[in-house]
Amino acid sequence: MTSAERRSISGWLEASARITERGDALPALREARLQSVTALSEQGLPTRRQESWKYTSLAEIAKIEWSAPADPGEDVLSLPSTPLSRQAGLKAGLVDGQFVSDAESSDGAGARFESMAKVRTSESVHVNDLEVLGQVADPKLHFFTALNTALVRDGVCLEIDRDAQITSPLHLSITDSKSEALSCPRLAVRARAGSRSTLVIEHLTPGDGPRLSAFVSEVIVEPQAELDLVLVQRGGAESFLASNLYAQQEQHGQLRVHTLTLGGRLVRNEVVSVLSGQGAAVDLRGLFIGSDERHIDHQTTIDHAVSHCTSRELYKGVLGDSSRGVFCGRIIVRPDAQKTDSQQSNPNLLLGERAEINTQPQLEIYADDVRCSHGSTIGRLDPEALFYLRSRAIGPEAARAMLTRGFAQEIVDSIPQHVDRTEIETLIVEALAAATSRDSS
Amino acid sequence: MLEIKNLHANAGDEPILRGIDLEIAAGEVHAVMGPNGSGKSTLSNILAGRPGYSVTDGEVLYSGQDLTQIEPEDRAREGIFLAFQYPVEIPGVSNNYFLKASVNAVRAHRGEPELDAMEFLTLSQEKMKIVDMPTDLMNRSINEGFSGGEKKRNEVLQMLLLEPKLSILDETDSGLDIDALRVVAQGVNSLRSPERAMLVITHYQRLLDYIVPDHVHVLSGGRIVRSGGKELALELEEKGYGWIEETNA
Repeated sequence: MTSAERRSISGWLEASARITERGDALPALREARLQSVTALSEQGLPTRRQESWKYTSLAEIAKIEWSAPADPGEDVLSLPSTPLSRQAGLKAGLVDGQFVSDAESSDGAGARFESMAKVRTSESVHVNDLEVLGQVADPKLHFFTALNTALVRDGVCLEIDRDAQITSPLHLSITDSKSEALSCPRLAVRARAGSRSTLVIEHLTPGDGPRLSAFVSEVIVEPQAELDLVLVQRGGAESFLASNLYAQQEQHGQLRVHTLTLGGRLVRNEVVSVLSGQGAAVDLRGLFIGSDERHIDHQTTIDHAVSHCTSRELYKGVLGDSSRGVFCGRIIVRPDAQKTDSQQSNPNLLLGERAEINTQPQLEIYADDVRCSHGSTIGRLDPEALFYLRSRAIGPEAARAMLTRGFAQEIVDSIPQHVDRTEIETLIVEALAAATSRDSS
Repeated sequence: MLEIKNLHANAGDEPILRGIDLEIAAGEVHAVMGPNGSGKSTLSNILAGRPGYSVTDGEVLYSGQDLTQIEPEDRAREGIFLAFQYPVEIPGVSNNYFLKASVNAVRAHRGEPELDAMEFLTLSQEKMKIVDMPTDLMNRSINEGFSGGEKKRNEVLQMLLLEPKLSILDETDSGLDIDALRVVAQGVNSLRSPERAMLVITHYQRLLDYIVPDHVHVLSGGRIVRSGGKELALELEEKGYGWIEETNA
């Protein structure tokens, strides 16, 4: 560890100790906080000597003295309006760690957002009763989860009622507006049995200056429930965003995660999905777009713990300039997980001469009657297709933009219909324009 | 409209065309026939500006301009259209979006206002009827999963939308059954006019029953070895390409 790294870690440990001393607003995390503090002090910042950090360096992070998350304020903040929130139904937000809800819609039909730190009242379900927080994530395994768990002050819990069929998307905005501040947003979701819903999460870093955000989500999908999560990462050019998502799926529970990484200096996304009930299905889809010297790293683990589960993964990368991408997809098929059906795919489009992608499947199969496939491709725009478009009067720049957008379209098409796809496409087109602007290949 | 003089051209590093002379005036339909490897595709690719094909000698003038100095998109804007032998499949880009962008690029070049979505819909529906194309093909990705016949119809649809001055049809008949051939030919014929010219490149005479040419040229070994009227195509059909090769030996 360098002295800068040591200083960062010790500052965070002290801040965590102060939370515990003053009476923790999140008693559900008591045990996990202790484990996190131990993990942080023993392991420090990950280094590239660790297998899962081989291609991603956090050295840049240690150069900044990040302020620890502050006590949630007393001010009543208003919910930020974002392009995707306007058409949403029920809404909530985390603004610099403080829970914000839209009074008019915070308790809608079939679902509710609550503050984690809120004192239990007789009417509402408290986060402790959801049995999600601190139950699904493992701080010992992932640095950013340990960091979040040591320092989180408030978060959002979302409960979707049994058999609720929610057609308007639920919307959570995460806003990190303070320069040189560490933010630890936290989300706990329980999709009750038989429910169907879509949650859109937008992560934004408005204004200039560096941000560090360690976002942790814990999700339980109960039997026969279906949940679509759409995570839109729109970090600024100096922001370091981490998103660690832990999901547990019970019998015939279905989870689809659509991760759109459209900004950020360094983005590290980890997904751990445990298929713990027979017939459960998970579908992870990602589109990541890099420009300049941005770095985007996806690490996924799908754990087929029982038989007859299905997993699908499709991550598409578009990398311009000198941007770098990493994809590591780990699939574990436990001895009892017969009849597992798993597919993984990671096609990448390299637009920049110096752009790079490191892609790697990791299959650990301990059952014999399974179907598992994986594949990755790395390519440039097809010259035949470019010529075809040009021969139809479309100029080379427009033709490249059209082909690049076509490459991304498959991910957009899989986003649930009732999410405002036009807005999503606008955001994607902006990100693609940045990735293709300095390219001439 | 088009003057090709002593054209020598390579496909990659390989010399294919060895001195072609051909003049096409407005209102004329020319057919170029020839056996495999005679240089038919190289000729069409040179005219459309496909990367990988280069002129090593001679010249190609289009409306008096040196065509070889013009970028492919500018050739299209100036009214040159190549119907591809193998239309490219482009996943994720809808046919509708592509064709509207294409039509508007040409309109912008001509100084005409761009068509909005409704105007384009009206226009495209009208043209699709001519080639008997199902409307759902407009909402699918460009040529993706299209049958051979649907791809060729899509090429002719593009031709009808862009209304080119010079159309080059590269083996448009390949892979078509007789009904599709008739429909495709009907589309092409609907564009014939005293202002437009066409160059129909084909291996077989069959297409020329439907698109009747004014002039027929036979290409062999990278040269035009014989020119004549439409009856030359029939003679070729009867006697085979061996006849041409023998008489030129």
